[in-house]
Amino acid sequence: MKRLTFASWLITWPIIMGSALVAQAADKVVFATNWRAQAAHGGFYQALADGTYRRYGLEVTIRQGGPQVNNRPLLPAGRIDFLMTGNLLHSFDNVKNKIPVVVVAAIFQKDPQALIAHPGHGYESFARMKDAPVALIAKDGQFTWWQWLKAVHGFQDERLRPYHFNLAPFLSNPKAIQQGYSVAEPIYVQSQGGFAPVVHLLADHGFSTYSTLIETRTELVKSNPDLVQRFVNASILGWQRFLNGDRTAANALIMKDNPDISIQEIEASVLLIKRQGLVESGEAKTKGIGAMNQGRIEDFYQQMVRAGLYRPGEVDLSRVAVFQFVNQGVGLAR
Amino acid sequence: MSLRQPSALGAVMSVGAFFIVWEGLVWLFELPAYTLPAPSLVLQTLAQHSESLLMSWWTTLKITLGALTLAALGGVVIAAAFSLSVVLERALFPIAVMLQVTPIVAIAPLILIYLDSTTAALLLCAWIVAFFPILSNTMTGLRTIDPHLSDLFRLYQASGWQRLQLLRLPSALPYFFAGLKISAGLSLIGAVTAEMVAGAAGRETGLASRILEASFRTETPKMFAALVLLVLTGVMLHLIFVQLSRWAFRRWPVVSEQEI
Amino acid sequence: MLLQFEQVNRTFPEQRAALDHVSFSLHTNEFLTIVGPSGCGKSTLLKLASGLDQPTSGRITRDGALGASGSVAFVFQDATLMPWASVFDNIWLPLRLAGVSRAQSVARIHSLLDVVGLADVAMLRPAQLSGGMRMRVSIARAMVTRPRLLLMDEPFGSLDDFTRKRLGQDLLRWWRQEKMSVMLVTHQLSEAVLLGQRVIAMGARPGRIIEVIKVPEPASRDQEFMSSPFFLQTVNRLGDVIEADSRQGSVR
Repeated sequence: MKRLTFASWLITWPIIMGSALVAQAADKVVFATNWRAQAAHGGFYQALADGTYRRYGLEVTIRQGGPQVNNRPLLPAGRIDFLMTGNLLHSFDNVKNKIPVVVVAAIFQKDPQALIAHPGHGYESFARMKDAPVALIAKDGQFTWWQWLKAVHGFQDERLRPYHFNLAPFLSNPKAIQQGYSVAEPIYVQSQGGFAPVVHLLADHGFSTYSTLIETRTELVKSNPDLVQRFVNASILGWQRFLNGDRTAANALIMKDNPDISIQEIEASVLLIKRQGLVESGEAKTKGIGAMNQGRIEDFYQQMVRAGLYRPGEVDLSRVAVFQFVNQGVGLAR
Repeated sequence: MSLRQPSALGAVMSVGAFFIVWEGLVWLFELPAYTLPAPSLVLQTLAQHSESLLMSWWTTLKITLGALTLAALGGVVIAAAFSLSVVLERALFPIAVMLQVTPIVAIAPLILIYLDSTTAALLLCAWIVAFFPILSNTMTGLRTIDPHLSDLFRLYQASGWQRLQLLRLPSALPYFFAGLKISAGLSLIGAVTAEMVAGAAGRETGLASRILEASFRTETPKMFAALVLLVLTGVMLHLIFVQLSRWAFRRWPVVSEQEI
Repeated sequence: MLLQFEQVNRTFPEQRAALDHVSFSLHTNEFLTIVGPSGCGKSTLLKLASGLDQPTSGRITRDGALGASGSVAFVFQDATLMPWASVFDNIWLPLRLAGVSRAQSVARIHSLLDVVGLADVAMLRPAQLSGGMRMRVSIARAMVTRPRLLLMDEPFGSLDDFTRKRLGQDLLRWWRQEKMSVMLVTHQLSEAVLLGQRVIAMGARPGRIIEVIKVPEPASRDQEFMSSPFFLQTVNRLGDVIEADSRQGSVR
């Protein structure tokens, strides 16, 4: 028998198994994201568009989030099966409030949450950002990482203004700063405002959380781990293909879900995702996309404790994530 | 008199029954706290965080009462101005109607761009929500005058100002109070809605911010605790104005309570 | 002569003439009663007399003294008091509108309250008074400016017989004390003859004067007068006249 390489075995195995599964009824699965469809969700759309989910016996419906939409309560309520979240703070809160959900994969090794500013006003230095007269931060951020920015980097509530996902207040005030995703807002600012903003990644200043986490119910992990594994693996493969392969179908699906986004914006964003090493970096390079380790979770928690968001020992860190579904080398680039 | 006032005992009993049923449902279906917390848990949480929640409650109450006062003043002054000048009324009343139907959620962010102070923005938003019933009701009241009294004032050659001060404004008082009762609740809603949209966490946090915060941090019992405070505030405001209304017209039962 | 109507017409847009060619005159210090079926224009007549309404054609001549504010007073059937004000403030109203301060009015108002027999209710609100008391307040208010002309539109219409009779006698007394002309509209024939020095009988459709009956004596209109043959004859004649006219009217 020809000796198969580990990677090619990984590629052919699901095709073999999947065709067997196709004969049975596919599992219906609902996956909710945390924003309107964009490149930062691309891997999931890829797995849907090129049939990877189907090959894994999954009939997946992707449910978008949005500015007024909060999909998070749907997961413990059983209305969705998998949920994408933006950072570990949500997971810490879940465990603290005894909500029976758990993280099963971390697609982004770095959080793209960033603060952006106009160039040429001294904001090139991160230390000057806290002096900006106006900081436009949306509700979600106000109650989470803004508190960390205040405690650790000296930002002040007096400068805080609510951000309604409209660029106009930022564009019209050169001294204003606002939140954004490092792989999204800079593109929009360039096209709407005609300039490239200064971008400060929170991750570069100590906000060391994973991002684009996949969460599911603890009950599902216990009762049907095979389903969870299939979804995680298919999603990982989706990401691998989206970043490195032919993503035309995925892009079409993204634009169908979110008519406001253009193909140029998606492609520019993909470029940034790759350049900033959000997905295929760190541990993911050796253990596969979605890799996580407990140490990093604990480290991030300690940072948040020091920032005053949590008391020491308030969160049982052993319940934040399970690692049985990742770190198996799935999705390693050839 | 007893037929007109709903018995306080009956109200307490029905509210009590509501809480008992709620508690029972949570216990019976073993509903988790993050979906629907039991009233006992909510009260517990309220006691636990009483200091910070009460401070937020006070902030929201200040905005509510401030907006209501401004709405009462503004509504009466504008209604009086309209009653003295038909031209003014025709020109400005449509604007008042437009303001009433524009959702605060849409214009609050715009107001925030132009107003530097958050408090001013919140007051303005809550005012926009609350002033119209007072304006509209007072306008009706200023027009609804006993025709014989009107004739009498004409007979004694009363000036327009005298008519306004001595006849129209007093005639409008029951209508004004009717509008005030409605606007009390609207001021609260306006203050909360405005804060949800235009408020910023950290400073001047009223109950709305606490509700949002609890929601984002998935602290459902705390969210309900803040909601309970909000509902109680609304009920309290309503009762206060019902009593105020009764006191103001205690020797004036020409207008019966049922009509208001 | 205080007031004169010459061929006065008053037509309203949607209906037939409310008043058709009405002519009469009112003398100083005269008590005139007006009686007739509904629709005969009694209230319109009073309004024209007050100056609150204008005739469509014809002429109304008024003594110059009637132009001053407060020289004409009006009492409505429903007392028309301001429910939010005290009895005192209600009576003060005409003076207040003329610019007289509360302090300056106190004496006059209290004396009037005495006159109408309501000395101890000055601080009450209208809702706390009986119908008869409210009417007294209304009359006190009407007299507060010492009017030359007092117009009353069925003032006792909503009161019971007993109160009605008493107020009627009181009114006669006040009329003599205050020295004013009174035009009182009533639908009760006996009341018209009892109170008036002249009775104007009106007919309806269109509203016009049918006849004017003199009731010159006696000066005191008491129980004795009411049982006199003259009284009964006059009341009957009044009734016949009005009845005859209305019968004719249905043919018209």
